[in-house]
Amino acid sequence: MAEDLLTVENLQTRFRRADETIYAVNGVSFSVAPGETLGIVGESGSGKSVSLLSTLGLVRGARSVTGSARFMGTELLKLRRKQLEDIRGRDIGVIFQDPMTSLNPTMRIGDQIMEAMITHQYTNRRRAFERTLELLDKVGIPEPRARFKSYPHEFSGGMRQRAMIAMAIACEPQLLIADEATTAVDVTVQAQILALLDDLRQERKMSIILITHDFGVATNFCDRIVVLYAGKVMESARLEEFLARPAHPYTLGLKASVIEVGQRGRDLVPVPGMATTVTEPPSSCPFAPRCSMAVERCHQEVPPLRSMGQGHAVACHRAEEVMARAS
Amino acid sequence: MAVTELALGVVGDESSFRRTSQAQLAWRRYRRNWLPVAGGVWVLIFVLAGIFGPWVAPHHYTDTDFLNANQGPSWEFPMGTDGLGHDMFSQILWSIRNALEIAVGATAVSFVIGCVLGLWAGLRGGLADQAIMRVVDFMFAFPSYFLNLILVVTLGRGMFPILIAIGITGWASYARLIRGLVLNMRNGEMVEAARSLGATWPHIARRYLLPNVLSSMLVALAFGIPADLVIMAALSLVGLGLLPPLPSFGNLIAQAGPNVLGYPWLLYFPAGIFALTLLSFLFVADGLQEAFDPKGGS
Repeated sequence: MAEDLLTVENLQTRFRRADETIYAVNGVSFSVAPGETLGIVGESGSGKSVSLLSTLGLVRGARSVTGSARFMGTELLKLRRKQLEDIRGRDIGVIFQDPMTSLNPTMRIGDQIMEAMITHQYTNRRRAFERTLELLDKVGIPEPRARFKSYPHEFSGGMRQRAMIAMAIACEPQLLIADEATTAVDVTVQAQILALLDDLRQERKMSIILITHDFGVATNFCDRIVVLYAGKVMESARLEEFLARPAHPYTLGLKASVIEVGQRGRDLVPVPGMATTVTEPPSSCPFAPRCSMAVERCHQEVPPLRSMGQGHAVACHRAEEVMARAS
Repeated sequence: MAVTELALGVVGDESSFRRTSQAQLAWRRYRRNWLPVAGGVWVLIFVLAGIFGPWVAPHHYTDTDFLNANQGPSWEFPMGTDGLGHDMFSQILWSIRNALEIAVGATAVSFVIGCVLGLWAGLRGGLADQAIMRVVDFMFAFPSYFLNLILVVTLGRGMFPILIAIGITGWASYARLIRGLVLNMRNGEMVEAARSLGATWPHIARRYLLPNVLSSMLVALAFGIPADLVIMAALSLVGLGLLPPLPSFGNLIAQAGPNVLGYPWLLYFPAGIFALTLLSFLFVADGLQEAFDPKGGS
């Protein structure tokens, strides 16, 4: 396999709230190869967005971000603000959850797409204009010339998300981060957007990191999946391995919580309890209080992330038993 | 992937989409009520009178005509004359010009100071924010009319000193308003998205924050101008307004007071026009507020 595009190692992000410290990300490691799609799955508050955005300096009020995040050989966490601004939008594009609030209502769609190219001196004004029309066409917005002049309020949610994608890929980034990019749109639009992203990935050999809470989306779209819980990696594996031999109770819980079409009567098995905010460094398995298989040891020892072979890693004391039970 | 073909098609058939600009929508909402429209007409007349008044006025404001002192309204003197034979109509036209110059100038001074400090506080946060907002709190707590009086006494009673005196006491509300709006947007998704594209903070302030607070600012300005007109008149009433013979509404009203029984038109005309103007500005401000309300519908 080629050199990894982005390698995150032992990333830790902390916030300060009132007089307590929030441990949002507690030693997360993962990597993305060129052209690969990585899915980062977890519940709200599991640290999935924060872990990526904090490497890009996009998280405000982070008290400390430590560890390492190497992008094409550059240590992102050591860059100065100006250097990060150069990388954002040019080498790494980000698409956010809510296209309704992410666009500037006072700027024409076309100008907003052009802006990134001009900011990064990707090309001159005239070429940027032409390229904007091509981009609008590429992301499936009809009549690019007329739509260039539209304001965001004249666009539907799906079209705004397409415009956001056009902005994110304008400078041909090597890595595209889709942060819950399909959460706020209709399911039909979600399918269109995912298909578009997949096309773009194949065409440009771009890597995609898909941050989602939707297990179904992740398992249909990604080459590799990382499951986060309470700011820690619970399980990470290639898709086939992940589907065939899940080895973490939390993964099983997520799988059982997916609602499929036409499965009325099949019992939904929700994971009990709620994800909680972590206000002190973990001293036990963070999932133990909600885990149906937890034993004494789980409440006393932090399970290390151990390899199960074939790039499959699990942080569970009873991974072997889980795996046996699942298959 | 099964859904790939979906991506190749376009999104629905939207070839004949309707274009309605934000401005058109705003105007539609503005004219829904007649008061803002009427107020707008009066404000327009007031502004035109301020600009062209000196050319229209039949007399200069210093012209006196002792033979026609204390005359009631007539064809020659549409609004009568005062005890020195000043033509009230001309006096009022000049007053309008002075009022406009000072109110607009003072509002602009307040606005610029408020904008810069509010933006700075909202964007930088931390110590800068704390420091600026404490000064704002002080300005709100301190009786600003008293500050106006001190400044006028120190600076003098000309056009420019009064403009400055009113201007530098009125910026706190603008600063507070802008800071709030900016703070709200700074942590919002629009700014996050812009930053993810590599936009710098100065760029975000210029292209994202300022244009988006503009409508709120316009409303604040429409409320600010009549407020400054009132301060200006209030200064005249305690004898610290524009130095006569420069005419102003405050001066005219203050002088007319003692003679109101004998020569009531000297009070009615300036006071009536002044009151109507203040009301009109407030109606316009209300209308703008309605027009820019994002929940205002169409």
